[in-house]
Amino acid sequence: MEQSKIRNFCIIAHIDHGKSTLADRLLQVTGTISEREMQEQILDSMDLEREKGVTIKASAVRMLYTAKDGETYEMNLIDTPGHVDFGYEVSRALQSCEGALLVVDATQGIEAQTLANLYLALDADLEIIPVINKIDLPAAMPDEVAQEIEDITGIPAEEVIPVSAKMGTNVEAVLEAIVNRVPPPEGDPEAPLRALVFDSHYDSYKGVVAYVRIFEGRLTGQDWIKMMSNDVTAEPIEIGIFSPAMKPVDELSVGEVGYIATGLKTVRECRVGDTITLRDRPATEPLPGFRTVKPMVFAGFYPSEGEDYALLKEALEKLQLNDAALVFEPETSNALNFGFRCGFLGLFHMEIVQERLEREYNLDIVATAPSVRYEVVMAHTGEVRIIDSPAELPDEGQIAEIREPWMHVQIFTPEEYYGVVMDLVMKRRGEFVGQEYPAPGRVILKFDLPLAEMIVDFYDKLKSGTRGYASMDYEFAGYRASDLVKLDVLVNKQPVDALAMIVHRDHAYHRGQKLVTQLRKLIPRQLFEVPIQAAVGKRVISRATVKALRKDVLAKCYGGDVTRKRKLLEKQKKGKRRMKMIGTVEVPQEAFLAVLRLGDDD
Amino acid sequence: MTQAEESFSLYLHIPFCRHRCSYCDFNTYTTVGELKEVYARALAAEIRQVAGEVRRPAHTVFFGGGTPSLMSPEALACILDAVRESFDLAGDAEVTMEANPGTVDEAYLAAVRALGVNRLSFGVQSVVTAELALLEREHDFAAVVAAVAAARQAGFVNVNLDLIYGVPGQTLRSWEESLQAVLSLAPQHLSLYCLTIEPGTPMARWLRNGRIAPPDPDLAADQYELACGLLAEYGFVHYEISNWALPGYQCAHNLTYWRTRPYLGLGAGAHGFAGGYRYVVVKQPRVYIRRMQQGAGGEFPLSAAVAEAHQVSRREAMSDVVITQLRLLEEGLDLVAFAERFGVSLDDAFDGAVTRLMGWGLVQADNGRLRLTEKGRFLSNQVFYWFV
Repeated sequence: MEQSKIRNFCIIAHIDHGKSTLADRLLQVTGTISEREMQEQILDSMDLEREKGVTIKASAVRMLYTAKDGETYEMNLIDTPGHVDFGYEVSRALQSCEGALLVVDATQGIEAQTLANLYLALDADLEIIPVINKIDLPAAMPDEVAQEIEDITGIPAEEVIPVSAKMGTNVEAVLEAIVNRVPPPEGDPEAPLRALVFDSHYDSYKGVVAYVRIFEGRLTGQDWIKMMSNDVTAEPIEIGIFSPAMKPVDELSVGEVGYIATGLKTVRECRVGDTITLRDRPATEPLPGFRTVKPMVFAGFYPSEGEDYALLKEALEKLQLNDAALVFEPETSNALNFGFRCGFLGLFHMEIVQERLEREYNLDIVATAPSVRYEVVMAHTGEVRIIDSPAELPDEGQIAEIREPWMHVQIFTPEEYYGVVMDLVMKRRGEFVGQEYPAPGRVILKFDLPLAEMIVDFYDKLKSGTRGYASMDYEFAGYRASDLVKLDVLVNKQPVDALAMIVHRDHAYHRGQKLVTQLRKLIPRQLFEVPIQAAVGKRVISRATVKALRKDVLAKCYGGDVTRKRKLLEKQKKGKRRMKMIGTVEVPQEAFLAVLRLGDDD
Repeated sequence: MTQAEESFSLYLHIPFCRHRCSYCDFNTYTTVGELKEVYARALAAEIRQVAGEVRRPAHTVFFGGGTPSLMSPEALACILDAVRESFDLAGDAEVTMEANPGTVDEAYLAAVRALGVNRLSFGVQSVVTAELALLEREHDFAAVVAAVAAARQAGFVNVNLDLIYGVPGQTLRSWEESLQAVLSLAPQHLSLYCLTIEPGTPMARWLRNGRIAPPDPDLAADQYELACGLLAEYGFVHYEISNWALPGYQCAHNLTYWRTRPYLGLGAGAHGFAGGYRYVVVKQPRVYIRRMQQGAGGEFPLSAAVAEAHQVSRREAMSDVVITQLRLLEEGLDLVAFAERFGVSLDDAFDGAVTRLMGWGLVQADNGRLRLTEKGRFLSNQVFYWFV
């Protein structure tokens, strides 16, 4: 396609604001897919995404559109992941476009996530086309929302396109705006190839399939390629485009979007953000902005049934084929036996992995409370140790300093919840940085907050405290020294590694007390008394006792019904089998999640 | 003993009540009283059908319910005639009838006694008015006093009284009051049951909606301990987890269950264990009657009315021995007999469970018998888990 007829764009939207529905309409109107092929929300190919209403993996679709000017245009829609944990992927997808549709729900207005992505899009110099969706709903306030968009973006309210993706209203206007307002891609078709990887997936026949935007040069199916970050070379199995199914082509040239089936065996060799060039005619400089995303949140995953260990390992390996950000290594726990320490981009990423393990691999998982990665400066040697599990924290006496990751956080909320948000953040050691009023009645509160305080229960609390109105965005700020201690939990005098946590010294007493209280409720009575203690160092700061079981009897045997008695016993026995043993104490798996329920207000 | 000579116990279920108590999930009905006579004939037919041509020995008969004392003497006679006709009922056979105080007078009891019933079991449950009201029992303690007196007048020597502990609102003191009151009636046998709140009962609903407090297991344990002490003082032998008797008055019928000996379950919803089967009869009285009017029986002991039956596997048989015989606190489980019967020691059959439980002080073995310890008595499930 002639470079001037290419339009690359993405859609920026908050979850549920109708990105997928609008994308479906565009595919339909351009005839990319027929009615018959129309699957609902085709871009979200994974069931899990559909259920969560978010897009996890980006994808890219080529559409051909004949505009009112009579010309046919190649329109590449690049989908972006809709969650904060995938910020880097979002930035690469935006980099691959010249324009962005900013889709805002006519009943909701702009949310923090959208705003954060909008700023990213503006930073990437994208042409923004605001679209107000769901104008068919009775609660729609298109004028107010258009005004809000004008206040925030400076784009006049009259230029905002009102649509109803669901009803198909005004979708052509969106396509026309893309043709007329989004500039065509630039770049020298004769220069050596520079293609940006903005996503990838693993295919068992074709290896890693890299999703690319060609910035310079061209690529044919016969060319050997080279990854510029690691010099890995490969002979592609095929190159092609998504329309929306994978369709091989002979050539991808400057400005175009498509895929390269690299034949590489791991997504780690072909990371998002890397630049692909030709082996035999390499570019001198990669495209800017490559970095390897690092896991921020860590948790132990253990199979409920010990014999599932091998299955869990296999499942994690399979997930890793497609997920360059997922890391794991074997871990042993005295309570949970054999499992894996897994690292994730964030809590949401962790949830997705856990759900996929449970749903797609039918595994029952016990996840320990998530932790962050700490830097521990040793007292005598000055050596810095990196730990991502409380169990690895050395004794207090050996530590000179512990540093923890802090985040820049922005929370976008209606003004009336100002106090609620402040309160929540302050209780979690947050530091107020500043505030902005981007639109009447709306405030953006900026904080710095330790990541450790965000990974347990923070987002749920924020949502419930603001009746669902607040939204949040965050990015890594850096490591800071904090007065942190390890809170140990002892069950029947035995420390339980899977329950230990690292907390700020000022919170230790309160958290310890809450944890002990929770555990007393969750651990069933045993044949003997079970003391539960929370301790910092050698000092016990809280204790409770699970009294010995005195009664466990089926008193009556109705008319000799031994079978019923047996069934009851079998049922109870089954429950016991799912318990984990800490020494001689049977602990239900829910107890290991108790740490997640330590609300900070009551 | 060969199969033909082995003596059976007969459980006969009477599924009628005037009112369903709030904790009850037994197979009983309050709206089909008019079926009593035809039910009695169906039950007699089932007895004859199960027995067939073989006149097997029987040593106990137990009328359970429901409320057997709602049956007329004529109806009971019809059933007992069938028993005597079809089985070789021992001359000293124990024939028990459950009765609700308030449903019986001396004349009725005398008539029942004349039919051969020689043991009565009264559902007293409590003597405290508020507790009786919560349980939705229809009698008061005065009715119990009158019923026991009538039983004695009618010539009954062997009387059992049932009590329930662990009742919401019941205290240690009110429990002692009930125990003392029933002891003053000089029963030969006492059954003390801990209240189990069964799903689907009104009580389960009250628990859910907060009308009653959840049972306190520690209080129930205290109540149990109190009963153990008090009844020992009165000369009662604690021979089964929930049963106490004066010497010589252990319930022979219930011992059949606990000794894993065969019993026939007859009547709607009855459970039986005989001929290598465990089985249950259909629950609905109308269905039961229709089946007995129309159908032919299967192989012994399965009648036309049997709803489910399965052959007891070797593993299940081993496990049954434990979960029944260990309930007998005095007698316990005969380890030698077990090893002889199954060709493997109990400990080996269940992966060292006996050794483990002895270590925890829940069971003890002496003279080749395994018994629950005092600690194990009220934690018997913790023992039985290892054997299912």
